[in-house]
Amino acid sequence: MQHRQSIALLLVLLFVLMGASGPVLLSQLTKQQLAGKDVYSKGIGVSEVKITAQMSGVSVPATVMACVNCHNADGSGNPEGGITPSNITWKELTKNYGGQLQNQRKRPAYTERTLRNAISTGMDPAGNELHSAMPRYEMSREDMDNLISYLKVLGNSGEKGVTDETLQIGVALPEKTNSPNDKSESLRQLVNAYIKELNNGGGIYNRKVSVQFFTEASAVDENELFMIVGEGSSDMEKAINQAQIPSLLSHSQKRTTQGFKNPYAFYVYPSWVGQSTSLLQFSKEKGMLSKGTTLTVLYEDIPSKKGVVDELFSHCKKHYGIEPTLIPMGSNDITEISQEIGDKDIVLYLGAPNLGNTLLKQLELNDKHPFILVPGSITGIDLYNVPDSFKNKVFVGFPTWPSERTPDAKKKYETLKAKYVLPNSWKASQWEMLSQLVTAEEILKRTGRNLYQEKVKENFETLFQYANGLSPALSYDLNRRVGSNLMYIIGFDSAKSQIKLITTLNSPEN
Amino acid sequence: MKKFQLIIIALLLLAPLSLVAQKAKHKGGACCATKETAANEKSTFSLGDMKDIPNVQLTNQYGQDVEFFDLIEGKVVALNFIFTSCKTICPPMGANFVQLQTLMKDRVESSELVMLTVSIDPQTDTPERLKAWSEKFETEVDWTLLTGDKNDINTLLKKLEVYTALKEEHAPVILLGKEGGENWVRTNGLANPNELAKTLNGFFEPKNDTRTGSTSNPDEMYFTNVELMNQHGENMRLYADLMKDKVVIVNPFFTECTGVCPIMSATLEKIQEHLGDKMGDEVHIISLTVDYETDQQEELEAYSKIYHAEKGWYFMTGAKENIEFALHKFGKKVENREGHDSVFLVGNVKTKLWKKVNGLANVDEIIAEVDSVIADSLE
Repeated sequence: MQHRQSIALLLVLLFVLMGASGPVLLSQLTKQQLAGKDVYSKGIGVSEVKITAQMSGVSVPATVMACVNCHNADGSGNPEGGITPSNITWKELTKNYGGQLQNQRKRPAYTERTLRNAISTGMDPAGNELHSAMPRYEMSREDMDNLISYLKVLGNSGEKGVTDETLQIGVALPEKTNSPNDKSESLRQLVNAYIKELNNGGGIYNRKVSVQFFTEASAVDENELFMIVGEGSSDMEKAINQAQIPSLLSHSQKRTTQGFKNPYAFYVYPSWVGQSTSLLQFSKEKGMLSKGTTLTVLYEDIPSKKGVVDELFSHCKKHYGIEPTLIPMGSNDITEISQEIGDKDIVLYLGAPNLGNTLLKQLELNDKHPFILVPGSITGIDLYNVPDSFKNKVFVGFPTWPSERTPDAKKKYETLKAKYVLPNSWKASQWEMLSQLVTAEEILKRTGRNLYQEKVKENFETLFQYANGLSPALSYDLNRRVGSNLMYIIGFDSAKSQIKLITTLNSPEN
Repeated sequence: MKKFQLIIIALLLLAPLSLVAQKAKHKGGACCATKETAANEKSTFSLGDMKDIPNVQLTNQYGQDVEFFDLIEGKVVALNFIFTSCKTICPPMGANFVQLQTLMKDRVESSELVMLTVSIDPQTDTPERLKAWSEKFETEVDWTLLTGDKNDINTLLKKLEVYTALKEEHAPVILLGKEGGENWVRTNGLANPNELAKTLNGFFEPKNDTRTGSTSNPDEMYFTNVELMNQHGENMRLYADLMKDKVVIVNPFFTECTGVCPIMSATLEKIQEHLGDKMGDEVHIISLTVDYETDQQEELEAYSKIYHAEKGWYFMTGAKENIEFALHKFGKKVENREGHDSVFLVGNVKTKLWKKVNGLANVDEIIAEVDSVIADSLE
């Protein structure tokens, strides 16, 4: 068993190395067809002259009326407002007995030449005018050639990361460490186990799922990925939208942008900023935070947290009229910092997870007992080892809680764990990853055998109160990109010597 | 399956409301609904009193609160309906609307015309979303896009009779009219913007309106006394000064026209010669410019001299809406100046005998026709 696992690991490593040496091209589209796809789905060509669309004497950039808008990613046509755009797959256009339009008019089969003509002058091969809602497109010869080459394969998917037999999913993991209980490694094992189980059961509509693990945002573009799950970051969000890959990520660091500016990155939980502000809201509701309160934000001096801290500063100023003191904190600063903090202050702790309890001990030594707010996804604190004098002063916020898990879901995890000997470390993170995988599988299955990234995105947008038994129910829409706004506030029950759920509230994400 | 059932139920419940979409389906010619049915089914209706819409407080694309009635009060209005995630018909409707704005730019700038786009999916369409959507069309003209509370929007949509339960069922409708006016036009929002502009222009009052006199003369009521200006810079009223009790020869022209106009004007010069003393007393020749922008008084005066125009031959121009109105009344209004015809209208205003005469025909034949109209009498 051990032996098999290491072989598997080696294979994975090999895969990663291959990925690093050069992109693995799965898509069957040629370079020309890919350029044609840009014309079709974005209205963007390779020539300097922009493509324009004309309708009833009006000329607009083709980006406003790209082919895909009406004809769909698969060429089938998207009926709306009493207009049914034609099916424009090559098979349909070139049937040798021609075609019959919905108004009973007939036309001969299209040829490459008559199709060019139809796109640019709006005349079908019979010499009849196309429907008035079909714009006439003006584009360079080169762009037209590219478009035609793509139209010939339209409807055969040709999406990134999809072949007839395989489907490639990217999994974003945290950076690997040398720790024996490495988070990244735990998650990797869980994902491999899940995917193996899935593939043994036939994959998704007869496609085997293959996984590409990565940590850097740059990998999003370098690999042929159909979909992405895992841990997000602002850089990754940017890369995902650039590459137009529908993605389900745990949460962003800064506040999540709304759907129309961020079409492809969907998050399960509130952002780091959202989770932190929920704790502040909680402290205000409980009367800890008021206008005169001194609020200190202690943070680990790394770029991702620095960005969060800046957003938090403006949030506090705007909503509470407080300018928090922002202090970067390393292990050597604890003594000094604990002297600066007052007994009645509030500390929002975004420091390193291993320094939280040290800080509390130092504060106790100085006889200072401020309220400590800890967003659990960003950092951590060991509630069982909190000094007694802090027992009712430390509050941790989590976007999910074990009470959400159904018996079926628990069984699913335990079965995987037993069968694939999953590590005991980072269990909460494993649960989260499992939840994402289940949701992703569901969305892919809803999309069907005929896979299009755009359809996957749209299917996310129709999720309403979707519960997979592992996380709080998820809802998305055209604007919403955070599936669950819930925050569980956890404290310590000193009488029973156990952690307790104090309350839940909705994170104000936007 | 569920979704399908839902659509059927919605259709049954709201059958009259989603008329266009349904009609298209039943004909099995959904593709052509816009051109063949909706476009030609231009219907007029009365908007009624918009003041009775209870507190329709809306938000524009800049996030400012606005009241619907404040936006339209006393104005000519063009209204269309979209949602930003609509892919098939809304982008073309937007493009059409923008083109209509460009055509109507002056009216928008003078605040006589307000162009409004209302979101039918206000829950999704935040002001930022509307703004981003409108910016795709790269227009410079002032354009207000509206969203708001779903109930408020629905109240408005129902009042305007464009409400549909499913946003996907919404038809490409555009409403054109004047606040407080009766004859609002409901038509296809994908129709040619030039046509829409023509309809809109009909809602504006001509400037210096002297039409509404206390006359009961049907001709005067038809032609009105809209004010025009002749080649001498004098204002003349269309019916009272130019037509009343006269035989008139009306032709469209423009001074820069190098095609048929010189021929027709030369012909008119010969007619003037033939009519002699009758000119001015009995007969007026009215040459109406189809290019009011170029043809100001000086151009007309210079042009009239080339053809030795004398008493009773008037070359007319005027404010845009006035000259267009006059041309319209003679059936001579054109979209671009080259489109004017070469037909003389010869009319005996007293006897109401009107003849159309080919302006390029032999002069003698034309003179014979003119004489026959002059000779007409009521007996």
